[in-house]
Amino acid sequence: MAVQPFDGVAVVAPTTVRYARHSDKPAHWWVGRALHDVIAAAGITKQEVDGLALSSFTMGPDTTIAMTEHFDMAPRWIEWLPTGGASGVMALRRAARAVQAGDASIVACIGADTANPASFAELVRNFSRFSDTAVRPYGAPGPNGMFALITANYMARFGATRADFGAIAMAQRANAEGNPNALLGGKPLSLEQYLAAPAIVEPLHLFDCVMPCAGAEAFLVMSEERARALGLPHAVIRGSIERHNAYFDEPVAVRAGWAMDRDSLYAQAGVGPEAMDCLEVYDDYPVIVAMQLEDLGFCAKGEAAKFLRHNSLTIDGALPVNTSGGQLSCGQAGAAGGFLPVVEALRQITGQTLGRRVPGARLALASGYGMVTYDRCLATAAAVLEGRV
Amino acid sequence: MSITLQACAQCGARQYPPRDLCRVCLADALGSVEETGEGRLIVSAIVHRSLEPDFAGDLPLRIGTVHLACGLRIIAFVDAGLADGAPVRLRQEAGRDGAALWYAGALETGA
Repeated sequence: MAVQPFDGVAVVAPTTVRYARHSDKPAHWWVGRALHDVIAAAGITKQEVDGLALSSFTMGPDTTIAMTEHFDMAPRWIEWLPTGGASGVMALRRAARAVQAGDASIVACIGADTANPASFAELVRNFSRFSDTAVRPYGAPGPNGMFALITANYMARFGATRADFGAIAMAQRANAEGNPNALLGGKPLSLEQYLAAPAIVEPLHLFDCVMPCAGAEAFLVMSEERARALGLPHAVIRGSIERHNAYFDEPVAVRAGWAMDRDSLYAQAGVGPEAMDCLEVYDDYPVIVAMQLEDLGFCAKGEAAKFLRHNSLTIDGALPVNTSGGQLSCGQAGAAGGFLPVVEALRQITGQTLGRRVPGARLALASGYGMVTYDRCLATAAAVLEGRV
Repeated sequence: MSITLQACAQCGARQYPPRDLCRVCLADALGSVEETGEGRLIVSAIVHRSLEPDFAGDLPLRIGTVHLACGLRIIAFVDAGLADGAPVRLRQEAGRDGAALWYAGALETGA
């Protein structure tokens, strides 16, 4: 049976709670603040929100259900997405289906996390059984270790260089200029600085790694009819895919689930990658941006480095990618990092950017990638969104 | 020298990291088998910064992905002098806290 279209569904009110390097507030505060801001942005009341989809790494032991009590809500539909970097697109997909089915009228989708000096190490320490038994004893390299292996393998196999990954980091840093939410936005990055940065897990160096921080990202999903009645600039979902643990037999990841499902994505959307005005991809490390350029069909496998030499990813470039600066420039606010691609795509195509806008942007692709439970992320997702202003 | 891996007594599948049922046929019939430990060091990386202060005195550490002949992949410490792509033999040794850890060493030839 073919994927049913996401007809009649609108995504509105891109919301960002300003990131902070550290926070003494619990994740619950960041969730509540995002809820406050997202309903204010849409001009609705809390009582009108009858669906709630949340993602957080630092809200434990609580999940979505506890938040209904924290904030005096009685929704008729809730969802909990412990899938990190893929949780934003996954929340969008689930909320859209709930609205189509009539299980909810307005769903608030929120990714939020707090951060303090101990929280990241603590998060990694308790991330999964496999990483606890089969990765942590090997120097506790965390995700940096596994993505260093993925990066080194990619470089050896396809001839990519550190400078190629530097081009991604530099373009995103340039895109962050003017975005007040980018924690590193005021700090231009040169190739010399990129190459001279201290090693973290070689071949990864400082500017290949995201900076953990606190923050929240949110949006609302409702019917198009409701969005129009509220007078809200909105996006419709032209297509969407999701896949988990794709290609699990490959000894080192050189591709992920997008490659398995991109034909479905573009068939649903009725357009190909060349139609996208901007691309908001998950960027835990530059190699994953390169991998998505390939797996989402912007260039052939192994050719991202060549593509980057001829196509700038800056806002005024051939293919604007991660127009907010991405997590590499904004910081990684835990699960909010998984919402950033959706929220930034929505900002671009509805003219509600925090920083610079791709002129006339109408079609955007947002992706997600999450959960390195052993030696790669398992969850992939993507959506093509079209602005209706 | 051989290594011990978790294996399914019903379908024969090997698995790593260890699981609670067979990853392939889901049988509750897990045991162990001896394997040669021969494989290939696909790629390695050098840990300069660890998330755990306990490792600070050991850094830098070289880790790698070993692809065993039986198809499994194992993250291991890598002996000095081994090039990425080299044939290796995995062995288990007691690590710093006494637990058995994987190490990738040169695959001796002609022995």
